[in-house]
Amino acid sequence: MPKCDVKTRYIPATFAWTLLLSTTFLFFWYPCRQFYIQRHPWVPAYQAVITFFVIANFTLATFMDPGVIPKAPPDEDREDEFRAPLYKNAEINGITVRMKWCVTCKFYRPPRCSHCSVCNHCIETFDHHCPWVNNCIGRRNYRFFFFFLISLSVHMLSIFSLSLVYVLQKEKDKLTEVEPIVAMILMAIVTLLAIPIFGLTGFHMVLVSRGRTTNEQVTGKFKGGYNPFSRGCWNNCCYTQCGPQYPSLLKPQKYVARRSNKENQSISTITNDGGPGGGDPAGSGRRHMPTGGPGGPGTQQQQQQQQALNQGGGIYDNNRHTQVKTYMDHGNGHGIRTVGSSHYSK
Amino acid sequence: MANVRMSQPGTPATTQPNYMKVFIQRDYSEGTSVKFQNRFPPELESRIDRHTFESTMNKLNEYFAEAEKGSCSTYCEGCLACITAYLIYICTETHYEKCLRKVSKYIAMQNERVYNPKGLQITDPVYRGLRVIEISILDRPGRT
Repeated sequence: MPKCDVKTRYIPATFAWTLLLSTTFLFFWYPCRQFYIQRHPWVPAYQAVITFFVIANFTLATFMDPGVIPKAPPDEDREDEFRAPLYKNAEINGITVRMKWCVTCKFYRPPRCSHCSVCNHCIETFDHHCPWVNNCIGRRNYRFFFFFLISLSVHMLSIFSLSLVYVLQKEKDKLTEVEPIVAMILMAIVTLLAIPIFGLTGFHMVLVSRGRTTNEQVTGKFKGGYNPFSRGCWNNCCYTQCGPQYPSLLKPQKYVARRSNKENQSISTITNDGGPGGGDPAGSGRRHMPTGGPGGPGTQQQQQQQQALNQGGGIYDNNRHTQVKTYMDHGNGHGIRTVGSSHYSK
Repeated sequence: MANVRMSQPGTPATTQPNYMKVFIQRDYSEGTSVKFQNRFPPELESRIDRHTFESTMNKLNEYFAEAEKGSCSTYCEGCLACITAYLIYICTETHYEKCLRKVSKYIAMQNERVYNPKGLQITDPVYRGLRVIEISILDRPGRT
């Protein structure tokens, strides 16, 4: 049974990719190559740009994390799982919104979040699960899905009109050749898909302007009422398309700050000085203390690090005279550096 | 509303089992933007003063507000990403991710300077899907 599900999940997406790539290829290979490339070279160029955007947005809509909220770990606040209410209320801009307890993920779903049974995750600002990309559409990848629909609509219109022009300019007795037939097939495919694709594009344009998700529209959540998540038509459009890209929460280790002992103290580039009597005031450079910079703990760690280095940590040869150059980062990440003593020896 | 729970081993903030934890929930009054409640939990009454706690929460909320704000730079980032077929997302961090790093750094600093000396440890909310801020009470083991 599970094997069956996995296979059937991929069929619509495979079909969509195959259709898109094959029709685009046929268009470039037949009408473009035969006709446009000699007379109007800007046509293949412009069509290539559109194809580029379609494929880029389709790829991201398919493969990007839609805004998965990781399941709550066992030690989180859920002792009352069996007695806790199914719903919890939150007031948002004056409207009371219900948050439902998610049995799978073990937390109260944030507003606009919904659990996708196909992906088996709660998705932030859940729009819908799209079988044609085999992925959920949520907060992180909605804009790519939307741009994909728009660019695909433009791509389809463009292919249709260019194929039509090509067919019309062909002499009547040459219409049975391969190229015009392929052009007519392309026009037929575009005509068949026009209503669903343009319809979906128009639908999402309305949703974006109203600041709603497909899920909210279809379930009638704000029917006849006020949508507390709307910021006004203009701001809704701007925020959906130009707002900050929400980060993925699946690997939180990525966002951990770099360790403080690197940022609040000196960073020695080379560790050792020469033998006894070093012969060089550079030896003292190694013990150079930072001037200014933040905090006690930073300085203490730096001193410890200096001492550890003085003792000749592993990889450096104690007998070599080496350069010593001490940098200090003031720890605010803005890269203000002061160079310590920088004497060199052989 | 802050809730108290006994912990299990294996959380990022703890290496020993059964610390008592206080959970600071999200504040949804302004929408789905990330913002945490700054109401002082009674369990921390004896450990830390209200003003310190509130200033930490307010600072965190400021960072998240900055992250969530749409501005010229996020627009340019989006345009540039579109033009480069989104390959730029592989090379650089987004505005939000940079803000999350700032949050992580601020929490680490607060832990080191203020909270750890008082026997408390704040867990970065990114480890909890930005849903709660977890404060572990380190010298107060929970019941097994």
